[in-house]
Amino acid sequence: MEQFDQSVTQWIDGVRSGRDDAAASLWDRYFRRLEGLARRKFGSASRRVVDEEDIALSVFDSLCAGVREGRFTQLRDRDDLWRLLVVLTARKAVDQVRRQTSQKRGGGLVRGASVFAGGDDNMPQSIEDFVAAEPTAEFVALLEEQFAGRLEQLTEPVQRQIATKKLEGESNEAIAQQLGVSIRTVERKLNLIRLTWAAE
Amino acid sequence: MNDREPAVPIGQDDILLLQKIDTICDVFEKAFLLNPDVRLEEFLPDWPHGQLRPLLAQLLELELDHRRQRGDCPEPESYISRFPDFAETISEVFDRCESDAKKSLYSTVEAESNTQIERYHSPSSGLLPGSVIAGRYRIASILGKGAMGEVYRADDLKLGETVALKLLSQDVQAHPARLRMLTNEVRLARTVAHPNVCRVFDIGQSEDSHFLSMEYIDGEDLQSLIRRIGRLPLTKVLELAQQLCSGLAAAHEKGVVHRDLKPANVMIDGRGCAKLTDFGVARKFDGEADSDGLMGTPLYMAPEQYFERQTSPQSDVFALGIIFYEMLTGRHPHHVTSKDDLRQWLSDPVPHAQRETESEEEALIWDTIQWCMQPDPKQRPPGVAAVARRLPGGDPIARAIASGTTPTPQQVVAASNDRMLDPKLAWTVFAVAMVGLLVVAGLWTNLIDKIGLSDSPRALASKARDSLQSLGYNQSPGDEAFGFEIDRDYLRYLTEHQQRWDRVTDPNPPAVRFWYRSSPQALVPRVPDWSGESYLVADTARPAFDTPGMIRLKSDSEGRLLELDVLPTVGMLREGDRGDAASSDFELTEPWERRLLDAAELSNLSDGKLLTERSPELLPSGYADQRKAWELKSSTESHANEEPDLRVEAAAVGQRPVFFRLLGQWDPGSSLSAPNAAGSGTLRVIIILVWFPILVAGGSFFAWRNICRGRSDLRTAKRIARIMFGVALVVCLLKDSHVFSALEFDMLLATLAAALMVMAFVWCSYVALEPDTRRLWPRTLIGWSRLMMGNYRDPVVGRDLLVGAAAGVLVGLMKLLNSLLPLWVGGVSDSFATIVNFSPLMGMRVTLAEMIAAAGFGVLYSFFTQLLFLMLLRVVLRTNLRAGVAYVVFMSLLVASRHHQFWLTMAFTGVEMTLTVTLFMRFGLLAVAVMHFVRLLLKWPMTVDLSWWGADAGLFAVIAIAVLTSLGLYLVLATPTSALTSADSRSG
Repeated sequence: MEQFDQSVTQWIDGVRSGRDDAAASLWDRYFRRLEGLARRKFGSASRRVVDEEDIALSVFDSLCAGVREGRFTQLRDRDDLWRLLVVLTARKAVDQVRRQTSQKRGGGLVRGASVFAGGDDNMPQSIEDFVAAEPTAEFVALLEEQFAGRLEQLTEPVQRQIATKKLEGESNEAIAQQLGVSIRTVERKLNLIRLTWAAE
Repeated sequence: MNDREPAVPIGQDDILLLQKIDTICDVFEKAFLLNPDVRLEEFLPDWPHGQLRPLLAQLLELELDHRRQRGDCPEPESYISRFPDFAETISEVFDRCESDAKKSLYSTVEAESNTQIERYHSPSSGLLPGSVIAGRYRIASILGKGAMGEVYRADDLKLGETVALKLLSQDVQAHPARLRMLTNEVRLARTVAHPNVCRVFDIGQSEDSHFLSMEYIDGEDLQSLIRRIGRLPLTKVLELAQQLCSGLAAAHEKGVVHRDLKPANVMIDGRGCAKLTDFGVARKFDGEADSDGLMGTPLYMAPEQYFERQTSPQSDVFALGIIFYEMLTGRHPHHVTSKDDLRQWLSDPVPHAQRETESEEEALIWDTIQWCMQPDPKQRPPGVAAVARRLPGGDPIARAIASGTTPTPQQVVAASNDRMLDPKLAWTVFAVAMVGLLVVAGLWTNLIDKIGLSDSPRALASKARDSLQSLGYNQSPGDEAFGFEIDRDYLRYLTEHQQRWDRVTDPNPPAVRFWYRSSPQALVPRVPDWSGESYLVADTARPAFDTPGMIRLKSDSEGRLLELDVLPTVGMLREGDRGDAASSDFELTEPWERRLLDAAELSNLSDGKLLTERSPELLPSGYADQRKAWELKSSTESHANEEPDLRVEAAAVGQRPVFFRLLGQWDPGSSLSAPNAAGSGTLRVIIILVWFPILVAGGSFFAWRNICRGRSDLRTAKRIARIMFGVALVVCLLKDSHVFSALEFDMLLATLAAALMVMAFVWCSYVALEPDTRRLWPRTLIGWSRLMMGNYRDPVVGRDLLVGAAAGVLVGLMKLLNSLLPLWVGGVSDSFATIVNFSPLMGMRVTLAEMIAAAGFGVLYSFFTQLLFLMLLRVVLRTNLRAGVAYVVFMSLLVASRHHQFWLTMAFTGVEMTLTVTLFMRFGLLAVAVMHFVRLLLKWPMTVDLSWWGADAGLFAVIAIAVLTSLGLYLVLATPTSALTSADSRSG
């Protein structure tokens, strides 16, 4: 457990400080698996955010759209929000399982355990382990929850837009153009978003 | 990538502050977009200084961004005057923004980033001097900081050496892409081992950090050097330029493209030696321009690298050009401050010399720079070697010689072209060759006329068959063979007796004869003989005249019978015994001797010649039951001295003649078959038996030694050996008599054996001789080496072709004159036999074979025979001049001693040999080989009278020579002297 927490902290620190994170290819694969899973479970969701008032109802729309556009392949600065989100979700899930297993003996909460592929016994020791494994549908549901919660955290609608677009894999430049602001603004706000989310 | 100050420790208050700042910035931005004249001051709330600072920074950055987009160029001073308390912050912001712009131009980029990502300052690995890494390296000091990490000087405790360690910085550690790049760098850089490339030793790991160990260079990088002292002196520039070329060439040879060449990546060590470093973004180049992302430093990128992400060795060459420029002038070719500027410059990057160049060397360097910096990669030098060659002092052979080493085969090929012919001279040589060719053709026409070869071999064979029929032989033969030959005994007699030329061409008796053989079985020459026509060709002596039913007949060039030999069969004997006249379907009205004399046209004599009977002296080779002989005398006294007496001998079985001879005083008395006089004389025998083993043993020894010492050019040796194998095989297959018989298999086997022997001999000789030639006279091998490597469009090759062909024409002409002059003056030359080669007249197949054989012999003669002699002499007599003179004298003696007109031959051969030596020393091996080829070709009978039956062969030869010479001329003229050679495109 401790190891997992440690690695989570490392990852979050990394995203916070804007450093590159490791395992780019791992994340690549993870995203594709997530997308595949989403499509199987939730049908092909290819809705795109057109209207700036409209926030993506499903974070998976964003992911699917982004992966299909090939946006998550090359540039690292585009997926740090994603990673943060996944990491936070994973941490939350681990916390849940921990609480449940400490409360009950024997069977843990179905929901928490099956978040990790392989069940309760095979809880990942680190974020790398976690990312290397197959994402489960339950985890995806948890992810959606996290996303919704995190969006709530953001006070400004502009920030929410930026976060959503970023999760779709748009580049800072593209976001700036779409919103009609300067890149500096986008960067500044992204920084804020990261800090806000990682602050817990 | 930006390095920013660690701005905010993460805490709730800070987040709140950031949010507030964010809000204010939003408001400012909206206002600015409506009215660009809004002032920052209006948006600054009443906050403490510490909080105002980040706010102002953000606002300022925002304003600068927007204003720059509009094309404004705000100056820091205006802001500093407005906010004097924040002067520092303002300058920092300006620096950051500008350095962001410039940095993206100056710093190595690994991937496209249109946006600038906020990055916090990467924490250093924090290694202190004295700490030991990986249990082996003790850190001594820090040398510098790069994009990927820091470079330290360290002591290798295991080996006791000083090395440089490049460590990946902590934050970069965990990223596998970075690690991959580091591993890639090590792997590629390690393949390049060269004094002008910084050696990379290994990649290592200590705990979680990865590092790279490399050669420690005690010096500074070129960028700091140039910044420090500005322009470098010309000699230094040349020196460094050559070194850079060497180092880069070594990398390119290994297929590694550096992609990030710039002065910052060139280290100059304590001895002034340049070393290329930082192969961090290098990659393996496999022939096609690669596009895998924007790699390199923008200011040093070639246009195709910047715009299309395509890198190739040519993009390295572009960067090299810029480096040369900076060394020469002390600054970058263009004052570029933004990406747009860069884009504009790259569309026309070629710089112009800033001032009048002071020396020729400087002009050459500018030339090189401009060549390297062409926007189109195809217009640039095709390889680094070409750049090195263009620079003054760049000829590899000269350098090798100057440093006292033997040039390698590659260096020979890469040498600069000197001693090229200027167009006027080339045209003159061409004209000489063509005129000479015409003269030779004219002489030949005259000669053929005199010899009177008016009938083709087939026509003469048909006449022979007719003669045989008239003599009683009318069965179709199993196999036939025929050809021309020269009666050497007669020639010698004529020469010795100073007879006139027309004696030679007088049909009675003639010097050129036609021979014809037939046999009931296949005429398979079972015994190979190199001195004859070809390896396995049926001629007068092979197969041996031993099968009953074999017929051998010789006539003059008009079909008059001269000799006849028939081995009687049992059937013939039976007929003879029975006394029958002949076979059933033939009416023989005349006695056999009449028929013979008819065939020899001796029956109805005129001019007062008489045929008187005498007793026969000769015996036929087979069996005969009747013999007769006559003497041919002139009745009048006046002719008695001029014309020699002739004897006629004949014999028959039954009514069929089996033997006939028309003899003069010159014929050896008892000769009935081809003489084998070559084998007589003890000294001669010894020499013949011994010279070949000596050659083989000596050659093998030297070849072995050269291989052991690794001096030989095995690749070319293999190639030439294979070519000669093919030549020998083809020539034998084309020229030899092929029969539809089981014995053909034996013949093919023998042919294969012969070709293999040729191949082995050629290979051995090349390996034995070529290294020393390369050591002593490397320039003579330039044309040859380039041709062997496949550069047949090279101007040096062309030069050798042209000059060699012209020389060959001259030599052929001289040899002809050598034979003909005495004849015009009133004597006979017995060298007539050596200047004629009749075999090409025997059919297209043989013509082709002869031409190929001539080429093969050209190579053989040139390289092996003459080279050997020349080299031996050089070793013995020490100087080229003496060796050349000795060679000329020796060879002339050798050739002239075999001829009757000693002094005349001596003179002509002297000229020929001098020409050969000069050709060799001045132009090279290839020229000599071409000379021999042409000379051999000129031994073919040729005529301008195209109606002659044998005109084809001569025409073929003339056309071949003309084509060769024209090709040589074209190659020489096609490439201007100052430009690169086609060798560049291959060996680069």
